Amino acid sequence: MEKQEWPDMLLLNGSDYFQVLLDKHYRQYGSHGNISRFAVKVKGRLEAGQLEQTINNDPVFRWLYSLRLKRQFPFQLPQWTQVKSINPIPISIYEANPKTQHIPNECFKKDIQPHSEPPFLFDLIHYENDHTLLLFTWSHILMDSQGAEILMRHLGNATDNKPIQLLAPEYIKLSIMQQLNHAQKIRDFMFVEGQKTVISLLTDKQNHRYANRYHLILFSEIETEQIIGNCGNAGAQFGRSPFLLAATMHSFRDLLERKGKSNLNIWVPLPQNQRKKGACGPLVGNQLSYLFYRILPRHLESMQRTVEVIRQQMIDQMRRGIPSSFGNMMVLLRRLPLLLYGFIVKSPTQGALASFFFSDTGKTLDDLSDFCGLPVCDAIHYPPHSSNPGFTIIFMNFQHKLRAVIAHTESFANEEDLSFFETSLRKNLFG
Amino acid sequence: ITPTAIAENICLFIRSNLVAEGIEVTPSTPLTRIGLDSFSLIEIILFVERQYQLQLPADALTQENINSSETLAHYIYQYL
Repeated sequence: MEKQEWPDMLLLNGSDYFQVLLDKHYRQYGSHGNISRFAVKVKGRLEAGQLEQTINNDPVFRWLYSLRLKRQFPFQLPQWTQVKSINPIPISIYEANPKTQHIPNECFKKDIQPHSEPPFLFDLIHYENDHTLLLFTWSHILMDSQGAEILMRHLGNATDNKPIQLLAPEYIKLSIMQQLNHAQKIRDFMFVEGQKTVISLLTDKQNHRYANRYHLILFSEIETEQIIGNCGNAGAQFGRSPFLLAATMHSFRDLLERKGKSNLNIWVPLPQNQRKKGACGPLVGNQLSYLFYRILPRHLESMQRTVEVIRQQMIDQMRRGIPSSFGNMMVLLRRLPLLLYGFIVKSPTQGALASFFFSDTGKTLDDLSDFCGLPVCDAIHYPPHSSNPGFTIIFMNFQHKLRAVIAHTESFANEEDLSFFETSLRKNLFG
Repeated sequence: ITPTAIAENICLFIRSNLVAEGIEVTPSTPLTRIGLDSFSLIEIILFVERQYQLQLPADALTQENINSSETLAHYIYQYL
């Protein structure tokens, strides 16, 4: 990595501050904040001592580890500040359960308090068959999943010698009037599109701390090719995400009907990675814009119909500049106290952020074959547990095989529900 | 304006806005091979519409037409 200036203060961008809101929202309704995880599993033994030495000798990791979210006064810009002295970055070591081969539950229960704790941590899990898994847990306020992937590739010498870009270029400041115009445009869009009641899995029991679970859905290489082939059949001419989203919406509708809910609108925000394709950065900061999909019951009469509606809404929003205006609005709203910010964001949809959360990280893990000199046999993104709405699905490829990880709150959707959802999803994807 | 010029213009837009430095983009490069997703492909379409003052019909945007800058350029040329 090139010589780098290490700032002792870093302003949050608009997307970062939205993640701060989500952190507060998740804590209000669940047991954790806005915490994401990325796991890389290798054949062979990664030694904790050697890894710790590598991490602690790396100025990137030391700088990130020293950041704390500053408690801000009202209307002050949110920022990370650097603590002057930090302890060595530790790696916690575990032995995997020989029967289940799962990551120990203890790892998934760890939380990060961004004001007072380092924004990431590492767990190393050893398996009996001489495999090792490195689990990177981080606060989504600091970076998004692509940023975490870049950081882990950097650790594992898996960046094809591309230089890492640490920070985003400085934001081009708009005048207050320009920012207000963008905000007005989004307000009009949200209040027109978001007026009707949004359906979700939530029940009245919203203030209890329920268990969070992950459900993994794996597809073979042949099944993945079949799904991609079906994208075209369903009318998804522009990539696979509209098809995956449509399939998820159909299966989500099936799940809701199973639970006695029907005939309400699905509202899903879709994050878009703003980085250039193939770029190794920016690493720090959420580089996300958003599209918003509203699907009415009549849009779910067939997969083709749903894909067509998604496609039209995507094109319409992009023609109207909704993603960039939303981004500019989020920059403007950075100064708002969280309570007021939350009220503004949730008011169009009457308090519901979404029916469920969805993202597709794409094929960035297709070429991840080597990590710290050992062959990679698995790599998975684990999304945050949202608690409210209690259902988050993230699609990704790994070595040309599609997989989906669902973070769900058990009281709203248990394992039986998730098995039902998976069966429905496979049916919708395979046609 | 020729299809070749249109294709070069599209390649320039892709190189400047959508892909990292060093990623080769030629008029015949398949757009999905360089990692462009649905969002990026629509950005290309909207760029073309702004640049050439036209609106492309949605149902004519098939996988064959948007396979590469070259195929898209040939498709656009008929609307100019």
